[in-house]
Amino acid sequence: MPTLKTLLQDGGRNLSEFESKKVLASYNIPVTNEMILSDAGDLQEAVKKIGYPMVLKACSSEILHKTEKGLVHTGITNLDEAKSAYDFIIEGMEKTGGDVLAQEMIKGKRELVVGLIRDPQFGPCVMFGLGGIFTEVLKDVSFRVAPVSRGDALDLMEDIRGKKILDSFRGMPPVDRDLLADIITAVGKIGIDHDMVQEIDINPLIISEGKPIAVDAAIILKNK
Amino acid sequence: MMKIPQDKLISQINSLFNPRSIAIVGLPRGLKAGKLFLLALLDQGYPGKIYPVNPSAEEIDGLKSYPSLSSIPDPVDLAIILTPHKITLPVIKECAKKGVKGIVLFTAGYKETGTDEGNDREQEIVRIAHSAGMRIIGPNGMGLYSPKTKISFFPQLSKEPGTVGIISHSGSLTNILGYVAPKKGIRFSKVVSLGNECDLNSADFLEYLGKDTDTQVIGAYLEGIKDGSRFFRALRNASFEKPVVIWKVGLTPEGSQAAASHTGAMTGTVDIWKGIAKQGGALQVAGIEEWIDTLMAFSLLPSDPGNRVAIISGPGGLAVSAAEACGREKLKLAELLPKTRKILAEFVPDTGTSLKNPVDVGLTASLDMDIYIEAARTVAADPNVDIITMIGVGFSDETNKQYTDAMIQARKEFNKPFMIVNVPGLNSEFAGTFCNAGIPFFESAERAMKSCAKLVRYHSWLQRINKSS
Repeated sequence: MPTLKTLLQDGGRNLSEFESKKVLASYNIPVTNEMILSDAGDLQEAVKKIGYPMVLKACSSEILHKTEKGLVHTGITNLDEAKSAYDFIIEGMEKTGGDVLAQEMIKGKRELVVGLIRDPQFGPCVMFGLGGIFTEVLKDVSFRVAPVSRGDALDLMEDIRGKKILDSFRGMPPVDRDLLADIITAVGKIGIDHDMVQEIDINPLIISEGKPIAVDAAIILKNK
Repeated sequence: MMKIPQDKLISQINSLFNPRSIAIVGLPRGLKAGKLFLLALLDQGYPGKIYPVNPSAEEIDGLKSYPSLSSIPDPVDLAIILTPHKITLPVIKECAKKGVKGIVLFTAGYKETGTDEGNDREQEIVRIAHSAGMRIIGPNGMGLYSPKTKISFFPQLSKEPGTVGIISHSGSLTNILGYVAPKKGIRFSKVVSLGNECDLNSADFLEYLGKDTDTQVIGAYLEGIKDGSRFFRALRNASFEKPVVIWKVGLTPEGSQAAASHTGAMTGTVDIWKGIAKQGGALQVAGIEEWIDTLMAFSLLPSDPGNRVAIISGPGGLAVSAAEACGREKLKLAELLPKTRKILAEFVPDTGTSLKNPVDVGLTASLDMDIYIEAARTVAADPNVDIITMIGVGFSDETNKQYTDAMIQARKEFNKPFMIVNVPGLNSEFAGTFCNAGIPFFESAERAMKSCAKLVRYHSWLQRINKSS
């Protein structure tokens, strides 16, 4: 069983959501409180550790497009719901295998995307913009080359058309731009530190009470 | 790729711009394309020694011609190579042996052919050059132009040294720019037509021009970028020193990355380039008009022009559209003091419909240029005004001359930047007069505001960068 460190060094397969978030957390990027359930019995522990409302998700490096496959169950508020969600996900993963991830449910209306792409000419580049389900439709994103300085990160935030979303918005507090800048810089640093990292996707990065939290993440590695 | 310390690179490129002797290898006897290189040097008044190399002639255009480079008795600093690629390799070897410092490789037939042969040929040439400490511009490059050291690659380029440095992947575009430049008040410090960059590339010249004290504005026309990370660092460092105006082509929106993630699916070459340019502090332009307008504006306007624009126009429609362009470009329409409006009311006829900014002096001003002139001077005196935009014309060459002289005078007297916008009827000669007196002349208010906004943007970028570092 390769450790994260080995995986990041050797490449070969992509990281699961859980593994990706461990990497992000090691760079001080705020992530959801979550745990892997080895069996249905772990649900009790998950309730204790994470509480309600809870999210249960399929977690695997092989599964893309979890939502479309019905493999994400949000707003779980009691053990019965949790158990039936668990069973549903296990059945859905029969062909691919994988784990069930139990995660805190973050409340927040504003969703951003932060990503990384390793450009063949310019090296690791950080992407920032409006996230959520409309990301690819709106394409309101902008890029900077890593290393992304603090000034670059603040500039990058001003680049998007939807930048007003970062201000005080519909009664919600303004986004903590310092924290957001740190996240942008950190994502760039992951690309610089780990040559095998080809792409990073943090979408959505949900703003909850002004603070950004990575709710879903994927790290894609180069093939061996 | 040759990795050398910056001061060595600068010294190498300096000697290319300042050769004491130049050999032109494969110089044709008659008037063929290659002859232009000789005509260019003679026209520019190159003071050093020129050695034609052509085994079929003993003399070309009054100069002694040599059968080979090696047979030249004296040292040769720069070699311009016009020979077909099939016979160039031995010439390169001779250059290396002779201690030539730099080569301009005009001919093609190397890596750009896409063949293995072409690629190998190129690699061999570069290998030989580097082992002799020799640098190469090209293939397909026209080389160097610098009025200060009197070298040139095309006849009839200006002999007046200036402050604009140019890096170009297109020789012909550089010639076009060179042709138009004098009428726009643009004068050059150092110009390089790089060709296909088998050796020296745009990053090298960005580093060089960034540090060059003769250069205060850099213009670049770029197709592909070699060594992206190095290019980006060179761009950013150069932008700290002076504005870099980049016209980038060769971007394919379809160049998307392999789409494993959403990020990958959304990344195209255009997007990455936009980020690079912004982060590097570059001013981006698209098309030759915008390129030239911007180089003119940066050459003639002060680096901190302020952003409060006043507009004075004879034609009413042009006043309004200029004000709109001002807003679109995020410049500020200056708010004139009541005192200023009061003075304007004294002489602007009733047909002028507005005394607020934009000031509409009415078309009858064209019959009495004093109206334009007094309006310009009154507005220029207003402390709330940073930049004065004039949109006017007279009905005769005489009155236009009166207008031109008065604007030039006003700019000096009030020490504020002026922008002149063309109105049909203004003889194009006046454009040249304005530019050569240090006032940029634009074909439209839209173009004027666009260029002005770039100056403002560059200035505020510099301030932000200096603050954060």
